[in-house]
Formats: sequence, structure tokens, C-alpha cells
Amino acid sequence: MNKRVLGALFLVGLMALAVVASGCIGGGGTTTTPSTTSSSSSTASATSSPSTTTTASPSEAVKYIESHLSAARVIGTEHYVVVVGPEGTGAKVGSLPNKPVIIVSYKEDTANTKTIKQLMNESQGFGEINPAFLRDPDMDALIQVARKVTDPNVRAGLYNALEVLANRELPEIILGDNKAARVSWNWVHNWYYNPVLAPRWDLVMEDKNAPTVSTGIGSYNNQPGVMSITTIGWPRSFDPAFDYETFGWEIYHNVGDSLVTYWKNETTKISPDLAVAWAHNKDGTVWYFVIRGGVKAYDPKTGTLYPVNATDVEFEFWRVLRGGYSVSWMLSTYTNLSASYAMSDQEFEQVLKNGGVIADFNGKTKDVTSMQDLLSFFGYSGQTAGVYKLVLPHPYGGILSVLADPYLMVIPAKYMLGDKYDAAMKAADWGKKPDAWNNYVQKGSNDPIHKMLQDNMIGVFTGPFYIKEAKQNSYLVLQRNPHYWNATMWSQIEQKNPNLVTTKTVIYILSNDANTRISLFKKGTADIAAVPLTRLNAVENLQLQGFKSKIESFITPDMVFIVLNAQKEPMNNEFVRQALAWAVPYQQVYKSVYNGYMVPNYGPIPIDWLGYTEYNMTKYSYNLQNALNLLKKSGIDPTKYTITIYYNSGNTQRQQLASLLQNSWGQLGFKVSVTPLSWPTLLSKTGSGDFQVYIVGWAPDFLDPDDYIGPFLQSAVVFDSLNYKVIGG
Amino acid sequence: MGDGTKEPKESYEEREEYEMSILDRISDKLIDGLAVFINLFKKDWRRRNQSKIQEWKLMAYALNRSPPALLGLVIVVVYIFFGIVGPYLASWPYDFFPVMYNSTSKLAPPGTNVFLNVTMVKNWHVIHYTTTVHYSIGSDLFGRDLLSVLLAGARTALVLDVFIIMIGPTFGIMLGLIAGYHGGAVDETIMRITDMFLAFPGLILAIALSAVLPGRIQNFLNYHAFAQTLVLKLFALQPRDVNNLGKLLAVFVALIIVWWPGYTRITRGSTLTERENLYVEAARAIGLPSRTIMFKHILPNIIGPILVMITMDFGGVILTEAGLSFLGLGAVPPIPDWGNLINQGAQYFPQAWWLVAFPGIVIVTVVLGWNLLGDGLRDILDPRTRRSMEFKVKKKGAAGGESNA
Amino acid sequence: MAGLGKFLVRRGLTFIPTLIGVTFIVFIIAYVIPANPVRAWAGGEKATQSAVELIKAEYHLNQPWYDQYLFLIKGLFTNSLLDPLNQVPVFTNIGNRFIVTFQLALFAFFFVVLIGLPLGIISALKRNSITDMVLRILALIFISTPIYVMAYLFIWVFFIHWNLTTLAGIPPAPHHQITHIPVIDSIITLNWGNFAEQVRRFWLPGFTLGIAAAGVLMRFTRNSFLEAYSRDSTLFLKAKGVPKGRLYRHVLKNALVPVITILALQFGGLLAGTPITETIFNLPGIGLYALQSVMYLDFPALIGVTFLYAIVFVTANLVADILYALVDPRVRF
Repeated sequence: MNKRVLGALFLVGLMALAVVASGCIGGGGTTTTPSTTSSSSSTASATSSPSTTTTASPSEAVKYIESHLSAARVIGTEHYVVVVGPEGTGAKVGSLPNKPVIIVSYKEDTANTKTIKQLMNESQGFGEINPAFLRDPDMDALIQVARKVTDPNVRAGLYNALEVLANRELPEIILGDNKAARVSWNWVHNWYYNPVLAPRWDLVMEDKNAPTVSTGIGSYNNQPGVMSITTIGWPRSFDPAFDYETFGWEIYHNVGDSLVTYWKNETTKISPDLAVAWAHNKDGTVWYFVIRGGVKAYDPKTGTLYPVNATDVEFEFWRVLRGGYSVSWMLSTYTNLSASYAMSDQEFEQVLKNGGVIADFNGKTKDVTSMQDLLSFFGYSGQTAGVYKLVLPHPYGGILSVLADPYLMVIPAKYMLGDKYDAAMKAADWGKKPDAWNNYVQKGSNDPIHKMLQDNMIGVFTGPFYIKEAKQNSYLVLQRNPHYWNATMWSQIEQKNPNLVTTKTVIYILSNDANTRISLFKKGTADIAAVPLTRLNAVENLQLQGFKSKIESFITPDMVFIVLNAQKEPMNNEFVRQALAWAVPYQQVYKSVYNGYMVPNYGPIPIDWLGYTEYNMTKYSYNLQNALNLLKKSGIDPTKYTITIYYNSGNTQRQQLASLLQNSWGQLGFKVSVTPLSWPTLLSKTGSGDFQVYIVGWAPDFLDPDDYIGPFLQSAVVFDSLNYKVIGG
Repeated sequence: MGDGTKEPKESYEEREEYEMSILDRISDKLIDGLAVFINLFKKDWRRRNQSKIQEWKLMAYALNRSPPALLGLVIVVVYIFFGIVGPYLASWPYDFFPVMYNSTSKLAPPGTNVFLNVTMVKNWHVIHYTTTVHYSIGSDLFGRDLLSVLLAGARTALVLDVFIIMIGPTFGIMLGLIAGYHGGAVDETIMRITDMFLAFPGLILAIALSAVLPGRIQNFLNYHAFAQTLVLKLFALQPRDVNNLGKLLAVFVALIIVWWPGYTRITRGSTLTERENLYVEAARAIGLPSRTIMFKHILPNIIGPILVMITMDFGGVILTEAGLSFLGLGAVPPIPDWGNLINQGAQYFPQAWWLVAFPGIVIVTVVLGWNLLGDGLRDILDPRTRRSMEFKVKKKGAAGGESNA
Repeated sequence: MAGLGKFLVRRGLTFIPTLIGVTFIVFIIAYVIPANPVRAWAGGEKATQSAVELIKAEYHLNQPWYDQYLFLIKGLFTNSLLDPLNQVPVFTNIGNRFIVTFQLALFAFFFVVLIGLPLGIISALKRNSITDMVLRILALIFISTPIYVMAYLFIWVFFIHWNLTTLAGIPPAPHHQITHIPVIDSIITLNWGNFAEQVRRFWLPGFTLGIAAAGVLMRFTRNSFLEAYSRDSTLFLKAKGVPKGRLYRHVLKNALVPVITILALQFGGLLAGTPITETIFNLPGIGLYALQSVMYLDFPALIGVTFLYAIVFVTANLVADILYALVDPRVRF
């Protein structure tokens, strides 16, 4: 080699050294060192502009890639360039755009990574692996990194990249985001919308002149102050630890309190509920929740009041985890309850004095050194009842969203344990050793506490309502809780709204028949009705004693999508999947199946959530020519293949969708058939990969894109090492 | 009477004369034609079965004199006619979905016209054309012309009817004969099993089978091309829709299983009574095999009420299948099925009243037709009716009338 | 009738294999269905593997088939078997819901007798007249119309147009419960307010359910009456010159014998034939429960429900047989 080349190499090496020496900018590394505001808002509303403009040249990144990755996949997003690949050397990329670069490198642990066959045998479809059984280690790397990253901009960039990958590889064809249509009479006021939490009916008001209609249930009349709702469903269980569906959670949200909550239609700001203040350590692995004092759980049958403190919080969380029902996955994945315990105010003061505790609230951050400090930072000046120390195995950006879920409502331990309370508390050293409670709470549904809660329909309530009476699958009545800790709020609301009354009674009238619900609504027996989208014209422009019916619509994060089994022919060919995506009659489906109540979404993250993007995404639409071209490119002969579409029987929208898909995909040459399956059969077949195509929906558990990206894209790849670095950010 | 033969009139034939209407003459001709037809296969049949032919003619007269039964017969004949040619009479194919091209075609009221801008793939090419659809009695969820779907659905109903009745009751009758004739342990076992199936709620069986069977049926059809073509031709479906039949065929199997026990019970009861007759003992004495006794001697004597039941059950099958479709089992679109139309209509009642009204009227009429016919048959097959005075109208005058038409 | 006692015992014994057989059939279906319902019981799409394993252990789903069968039967009878879909013991669920269905069947039965019997007799008395023809066709129309078509028609007329019924919930039972059947209890305790509520809720579904059975009864009564009329004993009385009234009373007595046995079977049929009516009218009865448990492959509930249906069937038949033996002196055991 001649001198010129040597010289050039020397310069390059020097520059590389400089970069490495200056320390990775922006917090790259194997384990995370969280910077500041990590967790109070898990959905920083969309990606704000990148923090600093690039100072280093893209070739820096190119060189880093070449020296750290053996193969590189480059994904361009709106604000970042994301590069991902296995560790090694020699990956060549062309010139990168002038944006900050996030480089993710990984080493697969093939010995510990389950094979697809294993995952199918274990029925892990939509569990550990995405429902399409598509394996892509690049995606897994990005997903796992995104969970740990705390800089919201970098996080958004990673999720953008995952959106682009999903849009290209199409394990699922996203049909669109549902719009909800909410039907009510216009004497109902202040009915706010929250994408994840059901409404708290005590905050929803009615006009004083609303008509009075008898309901036919006992002596209840639907009148101002009584909120009558006709809908579908029944709680799977009156024990929050054993319920993982929307109706049960709606009830819990109205009769109980969780540590934190989203107030009304807030989606980014977390508000105190049972916890009046919270703080965490520097790396976000230990959280402290100060529990509100003076809260008493009311037992309407006996009139007994049970005071609630931090030990009750600890016991209930621990019981939910111990119960082992599916809903406990959030606790088992994101928290370490064996190391978590309740402490007294004094103990907490001691911890604070030792320093290192940070509080974030309302966009501000503060190092807190005393309880008084913390409480005044949160603007609270009342009593407290202990502090709950929650330990996390890894820092998790969405932990507060998880804690806002209604199934984590707190029930006093004394009520649940009864006369075993003292013995149980002593055995667990008053909460310091929670695993001792294993002797007092059994796993599964044979546990006596579970049975008691089920028989009593929970039984004690800290929330604005209590369950007065219920008849299975027929009706459920909630009555205002006279001992609610925030009861003064109601008279304040009424003073502000002189023509309206707050809700004192809630009656749910359950019916599976849409015609019945519509009839009930028409007569005024129900203030609010769950009406299928295709029957909305039956409740438009109705009048009753001077009031009119009202239909409001919102985009929800619920989405409907079509899963393509990537392990079965012909869907194992990416071009075929894309061809199928171009052959879906989107607009026709929106209009005729969903009555216009659906909007397109080209990736798995709900519209306007953190990480949502349309940049660099193929906007699939109904284009048969594109579909034919891609089929040609794929090289397969469609007439040789039969595609069977599954959906759950009884869901008429999915049935219509399946029929339309059959018609359209059939034109491409495939033999397409449609088979409805009962829900359990569908679950078991799709979980074990025994399907070709199926239609399913998804609703969020909590407000974080990981709740979508994870289940939709992950493939259970285990890594020996996983690193990320941001250059130029 | 006049049977058109040149055989000398027997004495009994002279004694009973009837006033014949035009219907009687038509039925006479038909029965004579049938007798000639059978005579082609079995030599000398017509001569040996004179009295049987005569009985048939009397039955026909009885039928002609009962307007409800006649009405039933007409309805049934029309139903069978449309069942066979319906799919070819429909002006729009059942698998063409106008909603893909114009969403106003969904649930269009009767009498509307909708303009369609069609883009579809034919032979690997994307083609465009425009057309207008006129909905005489409205459209369904997919924009299909209701009249066309009703016509195509007649075939589905008829095929289901014929095969379920052919298999279920036949099996049940055989079992009942065996149980009633042999008695003892055989009788006990068969009746216990029959009771078990009778006690089992049919609805649950239908739903449970529709969970298990469709997959297996589909595999079977895909594996055996002959069966596949047969089923397709029977139901008048396009090849690509064959796999949708899984659910329908599962219901088909379920209905067969639900239907046979009733026949076993009735047949057994009648066989028990009939067995006590002398001729049975005589037949046994001369050494006739049991099978001959059961099928050639006992069965024809007890067939009367059973035949009536079969006729009514033709209607019953349609009703039950429509009920199952209402619950979401049965045919999956695009397979045309009356019950499925009402299922769609029920969700939109009363907005899309035509989806409930018209298929409802069709179902009620067809079932009514079978029931009327069954009722009529019951009267006819009762020997006393044929002999009863009501059907004899004395000849008008000795030398004329229409005695020898 | 000492023979009656022995007859009952004999018949009862033959029904035991039927009952066992029915539950066994369900069990085999459950065993054979290539679907694992546990995932649905454990929370659907979001079910975790550990939750699934837990539930499997609870319901003995990993044990051999005879163990599972015994577990289910034992749990059913000791009322410890929990319905995995709402965590309530299966027999408690069934008990609550059976009361609703029984009440519905009572109302339907009331209409069946009210409409079917008199119309059948009139039709027979005015044999072959226009009235007869009209009534016969009417009966056939009742039988030929699918029940849901009639239901929606009636709802449209009686609920939307005229407010003569309600479709929401179930009126509560009266305070004093003797038979635990609300409508009977309200009559016995003279609680007319509650009685009115029960009637308001149940009359329309009862009417809809009963009308098809009324058609059947009409025809059967007519045939039975005509058959009794053409008997020799009637001829004898006529020859004797007995006045018409007494003649008809004699005929009626003979005609009602088979009718009563049919009524017993019909009541059994009403009890078992309610799923569609319950779906449309929103009555939380056994029919709806059976439908839902099959849709969700809720096998514990399914075994309980089919067992109940089998008992209903068996009892109805037994009652019919007994009635037949009681009223027909020729039948002796």
C-alpha cells in the first residue's frame, strides 16, 4: 500500500478514536442510565423536534456501523435514522441522511431462544411471539431497547422504525382504527372520553328537567340523578384479580380507587388517586407512593368502615399477582413485588433524608428531601397513611400507566383476611416479607378470599359508588357511596352547574340484543345505549319531551387487523403478503361494514400515540393492479393455494369483512374460504399456529405503544448482548 | 272410472261410480302413465296390481276434493321446481357483491336502482365496467338482489331437505322395525340409545358439531375431488366457495342425528302392534326370513302415519335450519340461504324489514305447503276416508254422466 | 293400583342409563373437540401461559378421561364446580336460570291451553265448515312461522307501538318465597303488584313461545275429538237418544285422555325449547345459558345444562305415562 492510503487510514482511525473517546452522546450503552423526566408521562405527545441538531457528520455513523455491525438494516424515520443489525464488523451502508442516527447492535443467544415450533407447541401466538409467528431478530432488538430507553425522543424514533418495519413485512395487515360512536340523550352532560378508562359516572351530569321513565327493574325510575345505561357484558368476576375485560374494569373504576389515575379525558398527565404523591430513585427502579389518609372502605351490608393504608395496597397487589390469572402479567413483568413493601411515614422520611429521591409532576422535576417537601410539591396538605415502596426489575417508562388500570383497585386486607388478619400480618412482618402471605392466599380460583369477593360482589368500596344489587346478565345497580373520601367534590360541581344534577345512582341494563337496547333508548328508559355502528340511523334525530338524541364519535386506539401466518405458504413470501394488503377493499369496508366509523392506519401503533408515524410508510389502499404486479414478482401461482380466513362466530362485522376479503382475494386467483369459529376454538387454533389467516381486534391495556408493538411484533428472541448508541442526537 | 284398458269390467267396479271433475281426470291420466312406466321395468306389473292402481286413483280423488291439500301440493311442486332451476333463473350471481363498488347498495329498499362502477380482476387482468342493479324487493348486507338470493337459496333448502330426510328417517325407520320386531334385549338396547339421543337437546348438539366438524369436512372435501365436485354441483356453487360449506354441512350432520330417533320410536310402536297380527305369524310359519317380513309385509302396513310425518318434516327441516342460521350457524355468506337472510334482517329490524318479510313469507309458505300436504295425506291414507260416503257422488242418471270418460 | 308403584320404579330405573348417557355424550364431545377452551377461560387473547396452566390444573384437564368425568359429575352434585366464565358454582347458576325458564314455560303453557283447547274443540264441532278450514289453516300458519319472525313482529306491535310490555331485566321475586317461582308465589301471597309486574314482563315471550305449540294442540285436539266422536260408544249413545249436551260431554271425556298426555310432553318441550325466545326477549334463562356455554365451550356449564334437559325430558315422559295409565282404565301394569 502506498503512503497516501496509510495516511488516510490514520486520519480515519484518529477520528474514530475521537468519537469513542468523547463518550457516546445522548446516553447510549448496555444498561440504561436514565436522564431526567422519564416516566410521569409515558406518551409524550408525539415526537417533538430533536433536542439538538446534528453536529457530527454522518460518516461517523457509517464508520461506527462498519466497525460494530456485521450486517446493517437502515430504516429512515422522520427525525432519526435507525440502523440495526447483529454485532460484528464489516457492515457497509451507503451515505446516511443528515439526521441523528440510532444504532442498535445485538448478539443472539440461539441456545436459549425458543424455536418457532416450540412456541407453536406452547400456544404462544400473541403471547411470547406475535400472532403471525414471524421471526425477525432486528425487530426484537428494537423492541427490547425501546422498553429500556427513557429519552422520549429516542423512544419515539425507535417506535417509528418499528412502524416502518411492520408496514413493510406485514405480519398483520392493519385494517384501521375504530371510531367509537357514543349514543346518548342530550340531557346527559359532561360525558368525557378517555381512550383507556371508562367514565366515572359521578362526574357525568344530567339536566334537571330530564324526563322520568320507569325502568321495569324494581321500583327504579330513570330520572335526573339516575344514570341508566344499556349495554352488553357482565363482569367475568367480582374479584378484580380475576377479571380482564372491559365491563368488569368499568365497574371497578366506579366503585374503587387505584394508586393513580387519568383524570377525565387526560391521556398524558397522571393524577393522584389513592396515592397523593410519588417519587422515584435516580434510575427509576424504586418508586415510593404516599398513600392518602382518611380513606375508609364502606361495607353497605353491615355499615362497617375499614380504614385503608399502605399495607392494604401491598397486600392487594401481592394477591393479584398470587392469583395467577392472566391479568397479573403486568405485575409479573414490570414489578418485583417480593422486594416491595409498605413503610411508615417515619421510615420514608429517613429514606428521603438519605437523598437520591426525585419527584416529577406537572412537567417539573425536584429532588425531595422531606415528606413536607414532597407533599407540597404535589400540592397536597392532608393526612397520609403510609408509603408503598414499589421495586421494579428494570426501569419501565409506562409503569404509572400500568398502575392506573382499574383492576388494581385497593381493597382493605382486614376485610379480605377477616380474623386471619393479625396472624397473616405478623407472619409477614407487617409487609416486610410479603412472601409469607403465600400461606393465606392460594393460587387460582379455589382461594377463599376470591370466593368471598365473588359472593359479596366485592363487598367493600372506597370509590364514588357501591354495588347495591345485581342480577347476572340482567341488571346491575350502583349507588352513591356516602363515605367516599372526595364527596365534597359533588356539591362543588353542582354549584358550578346550577341546571344540572350529579349522578347518585347508576343502573346498567344488560342485553345482548341490539334491538332491545335501541328500544330501551328510544323510550327514554336508558340515557345511554351501546348501539352497533350499523344501527346508528335508528337512534338519530329522536325526540323526547323536548330533548334530542345525540351521537358523538371519537377515534379510539382499538384497531382491527388481519393476521397472516408467516410460517405457512403462500404467506411466507413477503411479496404475497404485500399483494394481499393491496387487495383489501379498505374504503368499501369502512363504509359498508363499519358505517364510516373507521380510519386507516398503516402500522400497529394507534393514531397520535407516541411513536405513531406515516413517514416512509407504504399507504396501502385498494389497488388490484399493484396486487397483481406483486404477485407476479413473488413468483407463485395463486391458483395452487387455498387460503382459509378465520374469525370468531357471532361477530357480524368480521363476518362481512371476511366475505368481502374472500371476494376480493379470490379475484387474484386464490381459492379463499371463510370459516367462523367459536371464540375458544379460534384462540386455541391461532395460539398454536394452526391457521392461515384470521381477523382479530386489539384494545389497549395501558397508554403506552409497547402495549401494541410488543404483542404485534416480538418473536421471543433472547439476546446475549444488546447495545444501542445514538450518534448526532 | 275408466282406466283406459280394454279388460272386462269386474263386478265391483260397476258398483261404485263417481262424478269426475277435470282434476280427477288429470290425476287418472298421471297414475295410468305411472303404471305404464313401471310396467316397462317389471313385466306384468300392471295387470297384477290392478287393485293397487285403483286405490291410488281413489286417493287422488280424495286429494282433489280437499282444497287445502291441493294448495299444499301446488306449493310443494312450485318449491321443488324452483329448487331445481332457481339458481339459473336468478338475474344476479350469488357471489357478486355490489357493496364493493357502491356502498349505497347495502340494504337498499325495494324498488331502488343503484349504479355500479365495477373494477375487478378477470383472467389476471384488471377490468372496468359499469352496470345498474334494480332491486325489486330490496338488497341484503352485501348489496345482493334479494330476489336472486331467494331463488338461489331454494336450491340450498331443497338439497338439505332431500338428503336429511333421505338419510335420517330411513335409518330411524330401519332401527325401529328391528327393535319392534325382535323385541327383548335388542329392543331394550335400541330404545335406550334412542332415548339418550332424544333427551339430548338438539340445539346443543348442532352447535357443538359445528365447532368440531367443519375442519374435518373441509379436509375430506379437499382430499376427495369427486366428493367436492358432487357437492358443488348439488348446491350450485362456484368452486372457490366449496370450503364455506363446512359449517352448513356440519349442521346437516347434526340435523340427521337429531332427526332419526323420533322415527325409531314411532316405527317401533307401530311394529309392536302390527306384529300381533295373524299374517305375521303365518309368514313366520312358512319360513320367510325376518328381513322379508319386516320390509315387505309390516312396513307397507304401517307406512301411513310415518309418511305423513315425513311430509311434515320436510317443512320442519327448513324451519329448524332457518332457526340455526338465526343463531349464527348454518350457511356462511356468500352461500345463499333463507335462514341466513333472516339472520341479517333480524339485526336491522325494522329498518330493513324486507330482509325479514320476504324470506319469512317464503319460508312460511313452503313450510305451510308441506304441512297442508301432510294433513291431506293423513286423511287420504286413512282407509275409511276412501270408503266414506262423502266421496261418492251418485252418477247422474243411469245412462250417462262421465262414467266412462 | 299397586302395579303403578312397580311401574314407576321400573321406568325410573330405565331412565338412569339415559341420564348417564346424555352427560357422557357431552363429555365425549368435549373430549373430542380439537379446541382448547382454557385459553378463553383464562382471559382470551391476553391469557398468560401460567394462568392457562393454573386453570387446567383446577379443572383436572391434564388427568385421564375417567378422572375428569368423575370430577365434573362430583363437582356438579356438590355444587362446588365453578363456571369458569363467571366464577359462580354451576348448579347455582342453573338453579337461578331454571326459575326464569320455568316461569316462561308456565306462561307459554297458559296460552297453549287457552288457545289450543277451545279452538281445537270448536274446529272439531264445526267440522268441514268454513270455520273449521280457517282455524286449521291458522293453526298451520302458527306452526309454520319461524319463532323469531313472530317475535320481532310482536315486539314491533306490542313494545314499540303500544307500551304493553318491557324488555329490561327481570322483576324481582315477591318477598315471601314458597315455591321460589315468582309468579306462583305472588299469587299465593296475594301480592298483586308483583304479580302485575311478572305478567307485564312475561306475557309476550310466553305468547310467542306458546303459539306454535298451541297450533299443534289445536290440531291434535281436533283429531282426538273426531276420533272419539266416531267411536262405537258414541254411536251407541246417539242411538239411545241421549241429548246433545251429554253426548258431547262424553265425547270430550274420551277425547281429553290422549290430549292430557300430549300436554305433559308439550310442557317438557316448552321447557327445553326456549333459547331463541330468551335471546330475543332478554330473559336470562336456561336456553340462553345453554347457548352461551356452547358458544364459549364452557364444558362444566354444558354438562350441567344437558343433565337438566335430560331430567326434564325424562320427567315429562314419565308424567305422560303415569297420566295415561291413570285415565285409561285399560292400561294396567
